[in-house]
Amino acid sequence: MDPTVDKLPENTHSKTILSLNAIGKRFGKVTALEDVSVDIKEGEIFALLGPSGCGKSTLLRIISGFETPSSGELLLDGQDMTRTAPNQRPVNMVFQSYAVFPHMSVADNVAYGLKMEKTPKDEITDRVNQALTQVHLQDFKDRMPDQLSGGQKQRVALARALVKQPRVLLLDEPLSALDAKLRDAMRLELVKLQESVGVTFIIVTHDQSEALAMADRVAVLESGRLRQVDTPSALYQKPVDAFVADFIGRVHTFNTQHISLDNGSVTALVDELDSITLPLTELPDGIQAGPQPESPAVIAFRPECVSVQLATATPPAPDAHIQFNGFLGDIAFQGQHSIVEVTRGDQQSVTAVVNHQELHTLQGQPLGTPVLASCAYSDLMLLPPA
Amino acid sequence: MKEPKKPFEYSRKWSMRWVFLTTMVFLYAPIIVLIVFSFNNSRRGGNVIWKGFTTKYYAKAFANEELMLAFANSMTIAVTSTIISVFLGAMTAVFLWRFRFPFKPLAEGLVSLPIIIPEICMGVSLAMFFSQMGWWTTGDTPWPFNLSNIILAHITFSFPFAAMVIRTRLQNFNREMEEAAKDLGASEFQVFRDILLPHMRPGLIAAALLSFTLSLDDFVITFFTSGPNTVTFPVKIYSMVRFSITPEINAASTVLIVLTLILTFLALRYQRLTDGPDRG
Ligand SMILES: Nc1ncnc2c1ncn2[C@@H]1O[C@H](COP(=O)(O)OP(=O)(O)O)[C@@H](O)[C@H]1O
Ligand SMILES: [Mg+2]
Repeated sequence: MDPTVDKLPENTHSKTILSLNAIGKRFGKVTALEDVSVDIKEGEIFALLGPSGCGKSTLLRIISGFETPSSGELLLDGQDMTRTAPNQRPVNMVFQSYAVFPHMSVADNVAYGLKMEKTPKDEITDRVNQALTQVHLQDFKDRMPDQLSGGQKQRVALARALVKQPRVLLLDEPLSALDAKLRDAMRLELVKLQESVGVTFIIVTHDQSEALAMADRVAVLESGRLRQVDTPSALYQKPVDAFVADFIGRVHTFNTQHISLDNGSVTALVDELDSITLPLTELPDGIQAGPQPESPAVIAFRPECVSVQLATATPPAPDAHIQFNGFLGDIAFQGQHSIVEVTRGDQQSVTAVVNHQELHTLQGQPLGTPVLASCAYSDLMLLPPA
Repeated sequence: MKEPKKPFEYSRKWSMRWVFLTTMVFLYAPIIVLIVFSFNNSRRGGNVIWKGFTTKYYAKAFANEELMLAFANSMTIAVTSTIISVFLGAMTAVFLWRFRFPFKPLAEGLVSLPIIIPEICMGVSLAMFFSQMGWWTTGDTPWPFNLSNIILAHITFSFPFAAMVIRTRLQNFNREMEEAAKDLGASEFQVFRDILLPHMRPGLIAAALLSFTLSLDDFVITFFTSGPNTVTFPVKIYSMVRFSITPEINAASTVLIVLTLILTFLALRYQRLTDGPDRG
């Protein structure tokens, strides 16, 4: 995979609005961020995704100015902002706790930032009304925060930040405090809101489905390092390593023992499996041909690519599929598709996501019926270790 | 049919009811007796025989110039020391809450030390301190400056309480609130004025109320730091009681009680109005 290829659609998001150059941050002995470089484009929804403690909030706080990076620089519209105070940056933030001021009405909360700018009174009223309408709170103007639900408080926080017309809006885990149903609705609403206001959003989340659903581009962070920055589909289809592959959806991985490259064809000798011809013409970055080291490259495939059939049915072509003989395990019905587990004694079991048709042939079979799970060579990924 | 007692239904146990009742009687009976007998038409306040209703002892108390001067002294001392205590307490509380510095636990301990030091010791030490430093106000210092010793003494014992109450209030301040304000363009001062101060307000009111009440009814420390011309209300009542107990004392005390009650009521009411549940 070529990292320089820009996978964004041509039409929008071309101009860089915010550049992070080799940002590093240490708290005493803890390294929270290391050499983070990324360009964020104007008008996009950019997600910072990673497990808890990987440094997402720290990066967001560096962008908002509440932390100063230990190394590296931050450019907004080409201007160095690394040491600008938070109240001088044209960047606003929606805090994880919303931080709505409890002693001010909804309208006063939203007006606060404009008052700080010494905006004329009439203009404040107009802009506050407009911002409240954008977040559907126009009827709650005079309420006090303790009369609002969590979701409504979040809208106040959104309106309060957006009314300042920031260059970039930062959102720290915006959906994590909402209940499941509201979360799905809010996901969609945030995307719509971003489309209508056109402000660049940077969203921090630890939930990969949230990031994939909302963002134009996602940065995967792990232990303070950027693993990959890409569009959701590219992250899913072409993860750069086993960590990203496993973090974005699920994968089955098998360690390789030996990899050879001859005449533009890559073959790998894999644990538990035979020699496999991979759908590649050259080796991906970070993988060496030859016998594999202690932490070897892995073969990975997603449950969505696995099909399951009864052992008695005609097997798929053996030179184009990896195959696992096993026994039918639990089936979890999920509506559109179902998740089937194929147990293989004491070897790792294989999970498959199957459609209605496949499910039909398996349903009614008793647990433990011999089955064959298979995955086409063309669906295999060869990845550096996590 | 009688339901069986549930584990925490103490109010249904007779023994508990008795404890509660006796407590209430011991707490409030003397006060009620004091108030009732301030209206007793008898020459002696300790007289337990009801001789008819009168308000003449109130008139007498208000006409007693020495008592009224003591009252004015007490009010002046209470108001001044409350304002200064709350101000100092707030500064101390914010400082202790906001900053980290070496020997912080020691500093915190020292601030609250006056709370546990016996009042008599405080009184003696303050008296000695003032006379050693030559800060003793003399008989011809003009009013209200002749009260400055007592005011200083009252500040030393009420400001730790103020600091403690305000500190407790600051403890549940959501720091993201402060950052949110800064993010919206507020300066340090604007954050303090617009966000931190409103959050502290209930604490400030509670601290003021506490300081005021502590100052108004302090006897021991005041006794040691007052001079012949700087008698406060409690000290004056004490000297009147030593002379003889008259309903005039009851009347004066009732005024003090009513005043404290009104202040407490107002403060609580105000606190309820301004302090919605603060869930951040
Ligand atoms: N103010 C701080 N002082 C010390 N360590 C910190 C501070 N803020 C964050 N860290 C550390 O930096 C790392 C990243 O934290 P954070 O950015 O909050 O992670 P995330 O938001 O991804 O969960 C963690 O190990 C955390 O303990
Ligand atoms: Mg975080």
